Amino acid sequence: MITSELYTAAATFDNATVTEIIPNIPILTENFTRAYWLGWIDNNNMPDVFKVGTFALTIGDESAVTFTDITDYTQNRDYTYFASIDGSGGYSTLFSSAETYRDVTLTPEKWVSGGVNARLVNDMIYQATGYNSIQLNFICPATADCTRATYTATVDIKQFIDFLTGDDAIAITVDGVTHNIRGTDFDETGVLWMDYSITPDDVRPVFIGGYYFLPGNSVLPGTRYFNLYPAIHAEYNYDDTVIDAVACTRGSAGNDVFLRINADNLNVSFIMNKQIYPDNTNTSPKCLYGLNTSIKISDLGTLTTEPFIQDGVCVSYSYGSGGSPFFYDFYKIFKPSDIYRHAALLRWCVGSNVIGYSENVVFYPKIDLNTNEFLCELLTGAESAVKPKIPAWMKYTLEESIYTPDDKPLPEIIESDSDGDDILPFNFGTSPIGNANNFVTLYALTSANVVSFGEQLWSNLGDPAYMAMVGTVFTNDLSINPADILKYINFLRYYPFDLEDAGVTDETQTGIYIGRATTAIVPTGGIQPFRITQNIATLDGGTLTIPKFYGDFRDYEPCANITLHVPFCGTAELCPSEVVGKTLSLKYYVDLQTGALKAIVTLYSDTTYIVASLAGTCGASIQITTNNNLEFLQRIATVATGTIVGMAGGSTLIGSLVGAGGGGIGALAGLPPVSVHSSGNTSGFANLAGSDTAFITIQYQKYIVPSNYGHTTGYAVQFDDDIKNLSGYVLCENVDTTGLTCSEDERTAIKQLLEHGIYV
Amino acid sequence: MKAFLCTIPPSTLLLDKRPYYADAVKTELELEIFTPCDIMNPVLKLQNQYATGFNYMYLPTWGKYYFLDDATILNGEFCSMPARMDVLTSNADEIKNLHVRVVRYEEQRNKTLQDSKMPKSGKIFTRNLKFSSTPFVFPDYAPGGIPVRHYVLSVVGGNGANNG
Repeated sequence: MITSELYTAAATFDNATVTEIIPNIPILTENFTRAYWLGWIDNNNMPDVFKVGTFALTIGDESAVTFTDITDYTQNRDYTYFASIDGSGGYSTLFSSAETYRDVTLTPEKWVSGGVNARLVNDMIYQATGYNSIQLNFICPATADCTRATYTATVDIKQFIDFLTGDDAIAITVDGVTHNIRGTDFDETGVLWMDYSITPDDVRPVFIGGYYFLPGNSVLPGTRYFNLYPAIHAEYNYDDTVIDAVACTRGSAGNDVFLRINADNLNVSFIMNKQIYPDNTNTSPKCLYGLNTSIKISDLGTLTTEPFIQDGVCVSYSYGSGGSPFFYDFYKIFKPSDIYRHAALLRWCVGSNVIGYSENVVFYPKIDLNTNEFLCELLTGAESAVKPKIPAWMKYTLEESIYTPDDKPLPEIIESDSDGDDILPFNFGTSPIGNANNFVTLYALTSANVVSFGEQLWSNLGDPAYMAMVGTVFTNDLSINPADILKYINFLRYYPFDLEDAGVTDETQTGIYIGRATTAIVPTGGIQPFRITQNIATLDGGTLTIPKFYGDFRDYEPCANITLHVPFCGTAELCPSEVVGKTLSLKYYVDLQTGALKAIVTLYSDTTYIVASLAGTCGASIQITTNNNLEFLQRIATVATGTIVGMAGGSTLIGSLVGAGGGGIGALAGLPPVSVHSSGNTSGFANLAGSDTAFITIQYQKYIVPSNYGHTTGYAVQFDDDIKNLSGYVLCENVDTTGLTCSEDERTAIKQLLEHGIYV
Repeated sequence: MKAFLCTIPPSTLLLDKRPYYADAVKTELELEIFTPCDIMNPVLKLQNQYATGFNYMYLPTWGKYYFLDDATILNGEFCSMPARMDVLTSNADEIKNLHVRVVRYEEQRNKTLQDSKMPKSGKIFTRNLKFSSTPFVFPDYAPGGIPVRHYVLSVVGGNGANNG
């Protein structure tokens, strides 16, 4: 799931088709009904992306526009927009055609996997037009086949949230109060806050909205972009413009960043979080899309409008030969504090050659948690030869990103680790049924198979030819009792998954053989039944990344509780220390003989690390007879004529009776199971837990942190140092004052004060 | 005894108030101290005109800094004023060299540590997050009209294909 206010567009896609599976990248292949389209692909490093079939795009009040046969990305063009709608109903084409298809993956919910080198799309801009609506601006790149340069749609916030969140509840903070809401029940206006989470975080790129910088109307729009880059990318490959930190300038409210930007030599880059595969991201931070970083903005035009600062954030900025400001701020709809929060999350930085500086500089934002003040760190590197690096204080979350004076790396959560033996998940292997087992045989049937098979069994009992065939089960005695046939059927069981998809069938073995029969019974209805060759079906339950919400101890026990809900199995409590920030993988193992289900949750990165194991039952037994029925049938067979011919007339009666009894095979015709197998600690379908998909529920304790908390109470730390190296509020423990040359009373008083808290 | 009285603004918990003392307007006095005298908590004998207007004092004879509390008028000429030694500033240089275990700090934060002092709101909020996919399908037909093999039929024997 992705939910983020930074996502700049949403659309409704139908009938998506995955045409190619990217090696080593898990791709969900389900059809989807909604997705965010955020990817932007480097034309020189086109990743494997996907093809989309037909979809409809609906934005705001605009009528749905259906795009048919959308082609795809190409490797040679810059498709940096995907669709747009304006008030006149016009819209742009989506992508160019006549190019090579690439494989693209859209997951069912809000996912666009743009491939390993995908980056931010900068061309879809939303602006608040009041707190009730959001304006989406779609800007066509110069290379696009657009009839207009820009398109605009206005949606209300509810719609926008719905775009972003779909049916998933999400925590949104409005004026400091966090609401757990869904898009469909959001009726408040005002500022929004949404966290985002990625599933899984280590394989899928994330695109987050940023800025668009348009160099004037005289230049075709869309040819200059500033991009977000993953911080990890910067850490690994940042080799162009920046930096060693040698100076720090703190702007009053972020203005400093922009006011220092001059028309000359402006390069802008935004550093994003860690979500992109480091090994596959671009090796060069192309601050200007399509151009080398050495290209100067001054080559593109003239600064015409001073940056317009609002709430401490640059809202607009004009560059070029006139027209409207083109430097938009995506975060405009949010409170400054939230803007800052996300700026920190994004590791937002601006690199530039600025007035009065001969060096490249990069501004990193930092946030004062107490004041929400947006502070800019000016980092400058004198020589391009200096190998740039990201300061150690730049981490992945807001709190982690807080600059500490000593540049001390903040401690990380200690990963669960052990030098002990790996505890491997069950290896069920294959059970000797099917080919290797001549005692029983399992078949995978469809609903139509079941119905026709039952009908054949009963309606053909009077047919001598049929009975001759079936009779080989016994002694070729045509006076076979139908109840005896039922003795050769062990069970019929319904499973809530496709046995063929589960990979347990052998499609080369069709037909149903019973007992010693050498002739298969072929159901006349539906497709051929397949023989089942494995006793255990292994099913993929998907993955889930559990994000950090606070980014500190509050994400862990005892401040947070995480409950895992698994269909058919019930619930289990997860240990937050084990799973927060991790991606989980869920596998189901189903014993087809008994219906027993085992759900095993492991770390995605280490499938030998079992996080949770739950048991349940998902096989529902279908009654094909009952004791009473059996007795009844036997009685009929005996009392009637004593011959099979006599049964011919009775078959209908028997079928009716059995059907009426609710226990007979004749009653199966597509009806729900009539009894449920139960074993383990849960029972069958009763444990769907409201969802056919496993999910977790995280409960967070809410905190109200005073703005001056650090100054009056201090943040929790644990380190040793000389007091002379500290500043601000300091509270010590276990203070040893024996070295002081004052009186004992003074030493005692000093110890008490230090352990009570002083200001240095 | 010579004393320098003044008023300084910072918190009593500030370790080194000497910069503020240096900047303050000081009044130099010769004063008496009631005896017997506790060095930590001396009581000053001052003329009534000095009963107000000061909160801090330096006694060069002892080299110590003191906080001044409210004065008590003794008679028409003198008042008594309790003083408490500012042990922090009086020993600031030595205290600064103390090597200590810091457990709460304004300028840094160890996000992994439990912070028992952080005020809770008394409320919780909940987030639900789904796994990315599920194998479970219930309809008899998959999208596109493809039949789903939901049923397992178990029969006795059934190796007839090989027997035949």
